[in-house]
Amino acid sequence: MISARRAILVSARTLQRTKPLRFADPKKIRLREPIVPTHKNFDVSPDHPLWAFFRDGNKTETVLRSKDDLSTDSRPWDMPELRLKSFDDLHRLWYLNALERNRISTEAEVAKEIYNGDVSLFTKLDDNHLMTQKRIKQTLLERQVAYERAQLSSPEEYLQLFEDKYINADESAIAEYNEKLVRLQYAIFGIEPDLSEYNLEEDINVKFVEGLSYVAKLKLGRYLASNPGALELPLNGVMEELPFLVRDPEVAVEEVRAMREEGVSRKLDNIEVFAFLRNAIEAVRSEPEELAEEEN
Amino acid sequence: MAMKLRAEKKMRKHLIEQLKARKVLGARIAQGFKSAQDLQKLNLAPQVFMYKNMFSGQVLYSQTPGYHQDQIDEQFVRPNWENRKPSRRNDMWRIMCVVNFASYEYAVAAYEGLVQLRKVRDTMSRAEAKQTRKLNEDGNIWYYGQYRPTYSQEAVADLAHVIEEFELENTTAMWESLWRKGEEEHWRQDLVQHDVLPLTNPRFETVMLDELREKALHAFAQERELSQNTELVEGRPTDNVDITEGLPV
Repeated sequence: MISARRAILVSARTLQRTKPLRFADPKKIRLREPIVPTHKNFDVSPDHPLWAFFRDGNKTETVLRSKDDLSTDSRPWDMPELRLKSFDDLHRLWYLNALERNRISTEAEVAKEIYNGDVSLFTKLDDNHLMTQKRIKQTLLERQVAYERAQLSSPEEYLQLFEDKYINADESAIAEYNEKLVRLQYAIFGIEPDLSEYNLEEDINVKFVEGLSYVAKLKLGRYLASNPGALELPLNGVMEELPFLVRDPEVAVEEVRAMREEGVSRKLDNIEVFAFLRNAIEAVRSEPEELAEEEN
Repeated sequence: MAMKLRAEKKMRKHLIEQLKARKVLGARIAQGFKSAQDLQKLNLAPQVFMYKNMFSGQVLYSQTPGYHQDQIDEQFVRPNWENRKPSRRNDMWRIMCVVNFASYEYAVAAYEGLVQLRKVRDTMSRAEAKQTRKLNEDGNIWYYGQYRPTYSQEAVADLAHVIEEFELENTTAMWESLWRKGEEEHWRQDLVQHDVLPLTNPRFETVMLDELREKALHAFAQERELSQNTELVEGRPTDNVDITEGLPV
């Protein structure tokens, strides 16, 4: 019943319509122009991640730079420059190069149409980035080879060799050796270069104590070579070794002497060592803050 | 050549016929023209589906959420090298737009109008249609590979044309991307509303279309109920006449 009533309702409504539901004469139809799609119908988020592929982000007006804006005198990174960089820097550099290459290839694709297929300028730029990437890989390969070689030789041998070199180094070369020592103590003993980066719970371990002895032996050895008899050997455990890690040798020697005179210096039991080191490093860390407070 | 018995030949003929009969030519529900009553009987909503061809850019209209070879044959009447008859491959056709109409009559009229406009473009007013198209240096329809974007743009223009010509009010066009609907000025704001199709993996496109159909059906039933109630309240003469009189119960 409903459908029959519905049919009548609909036909009544259709009768009310002034316009028929069909084209009167196909010959008289005026065809319309194609409706061209437009991006105005939707908004693109201004922080859409794909904007990263455009040089000026969401402010980009044109993909193609003018020929004057191309850095034609640029060059790839050199191997010596890359060797100085840390892994994190190289990692970042690799992706910056990848991003730039992507942008250049977009430009080249557009330029192909505009410059009649002559994209040599862009190819040259791209080659620079490609060369940088190849060199980054080469640098990492070198490091890996060096690492694998270091695994083959025993560390004791190398440490002994380094100790001799360090103690007998010229005054001019000592800065370089000090830097090398910082890297060495990190690589072999896991001692962080910067005090503030210590995780007191995890980084203070047996390896650390070994490294501490080694570093103290080195620094004191070098100091004694130029100032014989400045301090009586041997050092009395970590209590006397720690100053050589955190201070200059002259200051450290003074500190050790003062401790000996006061009679506080003693050889710690094994069970006390870690706790002592944690407290001492914590105290050394807070020193600059105390100084700053005093100045204020 | 080995001799064949008559039975063998018969069997062979029979098998070939079987193969032909078994050939899938598309969704069976999409086969043949559907009048307003057919649509209702088949539990379909007053919708028109526009599929775009990913290979050539052509557009196929359908009254159902599916398509059939017969529709392709009907809508691409005079194929040539620029406007080839597209293949039925179902990986080639993706939904471009689903248009919801206010009534089944409208949906049928719009479908017929769209097909008619397509035929006019391809046959009677061929030259006129070509004038409005973007051409390449050789004077042919602009293309890249086999893709001619003008076909889908024409289909959109035809949809706007049909809605405006027949004044199909309360229409909702759901676009795969609003990008395709073009400038606002092409559409009668009082007749059409635009919306976006829900984002779907193309693998589940049919499921999405079926859900849209159900939704539209539900919405239409609600509207019908509403309009019937208002008409009863107004006490139109149509309600006083018992139109079921004399009909078999």
